[in-house]
Amino acid sequence: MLRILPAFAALLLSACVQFSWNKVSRYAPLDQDAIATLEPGRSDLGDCLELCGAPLVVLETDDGRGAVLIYAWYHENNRGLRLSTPVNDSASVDFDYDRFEANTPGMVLFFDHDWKLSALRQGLILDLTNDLRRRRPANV
Amino acid sequence: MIEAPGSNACMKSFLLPEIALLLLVPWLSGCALAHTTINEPLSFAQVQELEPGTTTAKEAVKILGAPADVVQLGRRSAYRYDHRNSKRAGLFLVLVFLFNEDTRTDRVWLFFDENEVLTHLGATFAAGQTEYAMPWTDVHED
Repeated sequence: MLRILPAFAALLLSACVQFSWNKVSRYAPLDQDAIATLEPGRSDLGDCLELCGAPLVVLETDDGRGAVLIYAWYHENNRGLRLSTPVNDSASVDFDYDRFEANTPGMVLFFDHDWKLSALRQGLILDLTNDLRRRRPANV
Repeated sequence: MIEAPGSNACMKSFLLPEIALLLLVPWLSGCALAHTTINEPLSFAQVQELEPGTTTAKEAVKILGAPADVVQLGRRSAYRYDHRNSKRAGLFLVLVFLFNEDTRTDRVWLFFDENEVLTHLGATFAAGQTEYAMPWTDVHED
């Protein structure tokens, strides 16, 4: 009987303790070689769209004359012992604007009125987009 | 008659509970697959019908349907079309839980000038490459 106890203990423990390997991949990272070819002042919107594809988010610049393109990707790879929690507890990231997770990397491209690339930033999306807000539509 | 330790009968009675548990464990394990999509898949052929410099916003909407989002860019605008595909696989083996999620999208952004003529088009088609996988698999490996 004592020999069976560890097996039963394992079954009971499975309700609260488990080894978990949780991997979440959302969108593919951009090719760094492609990014390296983008040059502020020289590259334009067409070049960027051809090299990087469609962005996740497009915003109007603060002055209302240009555009901001946001590319992001999310990869989580967690392993370890953990208390039992819902499967999607740490996987609730989404890419609607204002809902980026703090650890989401990405790239932000700024274009002027002539669609020339004026600036390129890489890093964590929340840091890069701190000063950006989607403006409400207005009559044109 | 007393059986000597190590005899067959003794081994059988000794291992029976363990064997029974081993047979039980597979029935206690579980696996799950989930597939989630958002919006209809985008058609590569339809996107190819769009021509920067000539296609108007009205024609684009006629070809692709209503966009998921319209962003005002001063007097210009950008339309977003997207289709999201997520595949999740989970395997639960008593004390071990393995989970993988792979999400990819088809995305198309159309940029129109102040006359609502298409000037730029950006497209990414990746939703079809979404995979069910276990965590040790690199789903973005070529």
